[in-house]
Amino acid sequence: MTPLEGLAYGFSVALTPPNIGAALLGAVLGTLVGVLPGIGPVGAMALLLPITLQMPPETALIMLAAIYYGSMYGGSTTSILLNVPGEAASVITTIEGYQLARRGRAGAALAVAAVGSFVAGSLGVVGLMLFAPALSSFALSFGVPEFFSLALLGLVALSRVSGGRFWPGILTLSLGLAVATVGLDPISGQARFTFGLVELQGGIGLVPAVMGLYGIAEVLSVAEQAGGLPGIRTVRWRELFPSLGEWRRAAPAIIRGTAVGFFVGLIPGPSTVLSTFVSYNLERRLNRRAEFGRGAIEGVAGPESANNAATSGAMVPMLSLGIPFSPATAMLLAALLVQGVRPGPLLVKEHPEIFWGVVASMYVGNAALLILNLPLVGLWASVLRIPQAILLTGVLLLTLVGAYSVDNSLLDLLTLMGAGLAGYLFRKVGFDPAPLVLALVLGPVLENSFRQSLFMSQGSLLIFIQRPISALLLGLALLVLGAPALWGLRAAHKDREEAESV
Amino acid sequence: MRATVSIICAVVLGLDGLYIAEALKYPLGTLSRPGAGFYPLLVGILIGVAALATAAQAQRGGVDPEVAWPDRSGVLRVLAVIAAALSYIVLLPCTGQLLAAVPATAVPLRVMGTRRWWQLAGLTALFASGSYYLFAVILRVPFPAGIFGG
Repeated sequence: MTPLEGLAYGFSVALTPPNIGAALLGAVLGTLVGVLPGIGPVGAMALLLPITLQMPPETALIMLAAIYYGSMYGGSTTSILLNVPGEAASVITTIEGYQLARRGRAGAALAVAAVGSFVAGSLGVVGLMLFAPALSSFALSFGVPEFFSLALLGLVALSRVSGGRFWPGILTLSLGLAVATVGLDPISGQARFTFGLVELQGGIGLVPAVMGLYGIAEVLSVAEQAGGLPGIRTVRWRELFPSLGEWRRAAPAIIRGTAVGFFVGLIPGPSTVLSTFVSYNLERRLNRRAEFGRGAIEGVAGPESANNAATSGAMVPMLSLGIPFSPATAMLLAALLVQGVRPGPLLVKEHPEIFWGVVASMYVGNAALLILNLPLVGLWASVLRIPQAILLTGVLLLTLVGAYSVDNSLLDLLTLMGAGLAGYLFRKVGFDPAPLVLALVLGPVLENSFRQSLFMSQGSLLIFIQRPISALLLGLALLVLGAPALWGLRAAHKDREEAESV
Repeated sequence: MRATVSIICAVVLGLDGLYIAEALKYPLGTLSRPGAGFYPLLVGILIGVAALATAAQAQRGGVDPEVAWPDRSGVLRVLAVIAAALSYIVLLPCTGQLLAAVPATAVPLRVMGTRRWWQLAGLTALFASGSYYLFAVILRVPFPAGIFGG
């Protein structure tokens, strides 16, 4: 199937009433989640995962994907109006966006952010359409050693790149790997770490664990505070139009942000956040005459485009290789796994309705988001006036009931609370839970592929470096592990040399 | 912060010891035919190394300086929310979804600022009945009937 044929088929799937409804619902929820500081797209996807069990897999993925890229639109609203990022990928937008708002150009900033997000989202989907099938075909030549090395690269890169220090990242990652070993050994069928409990033979539930790490932890974190949000600026419809000069400056930044975002999205790590930093720095280098820090429109256009394009880029490895490189795509993978669908190189061939349906729905979703976010920006901002007590209580109840509904198991509720307390503690000491989430998803892949590789090689570890692709991936993993330390040594050496020359 | 991180790492090391001890009870196999305990043993070693390295890093001052622990009222709010969530878990098998949702809703609303009794009652009823309608009626999740049949 050529990409155009696939896209045509995808539209036949995406334009059915249930799937249009799923895309629109996901877009609305994603915008809401992006506007509301705290819960984030991963938490929202985890909360809604139990509900998607009632849907066909393509509908479930359409809705969750719409939440993911929809939250990128919503996050810019509070960044610009309140100087409070709605979610992590909108932190950079607070720098220039809020300054534009202070100068009375909030509407222009919001319009540029929304249009940039739309353009980037649409072009990003084109990239997804072209890259993912090609990567799938290439990945058909992967064997278990390659999947082991790829999973290891993803885990190591996320631990290195996500916020926080290296060793705490490895610690949370290894805890996730340990939790993933609970249940029946997939190769021998031996029950491990079940302590005689039949309920544990299925393992620790991924959905309740993630709901706890993000949802319950957020509720507890906010419950301990007694603050509120600052006053909300109002934006009138006629203020939404940037000037011609602002568009002339924003347009190239949108294109650059799209390219940066898509390619950053392909690499492991919190790609939506990283892409905004890369884009912002690029705009600063290229636009030396612009007033960065005092309201440069390029500083909104580039990063907001980048984070949207990054969502499409991040979906390429998840859909084509079955390897998620971020917690958000791990949730998308989880949604398919609980439905009995395994993403990977064969997904495009065996489940074209899922792959092409999601791709086509992203065009629909991005168009809907542009309409939702521009004229209705006042409505989204007013959501912030809902008392925190009501919002958080709703989140708490939804989390509890949702976790139970996955498998009708009280064990899942205990998992939820345990993960919630762990997530709250992690926040207190600055440990990032993202490596733990990825380890929960990739742990079984890592173990299976490792053990099967050893079976194949009769116990020789050289199998991982004798195969070129596996060796390359392991080399990249070592580079990711060692590069920061090497740079640090180099910088220290350079400082010593300069000090000696003086 | 150093003390907090060190305590956490010490607890993790203790649990890791138990994890490794349990892993050693399963067949380790050989390198050419790794058994069920082989991979967990490697993971257990990784946890131990990471915990020690994190504690060492904390002692050298390589972590953020302050933990923002809540004040007394904040601690009480957090404990109240935890108790409310646990009450849901305890009550669900006995009373069913509708009634179990009542304290899980009313307590967080109250401790996080809803003062007027009629607002509290109204919102609690709305949340409890709304969640029941969404999950039990629309999504047909089979909740326990409980002693009151709901």
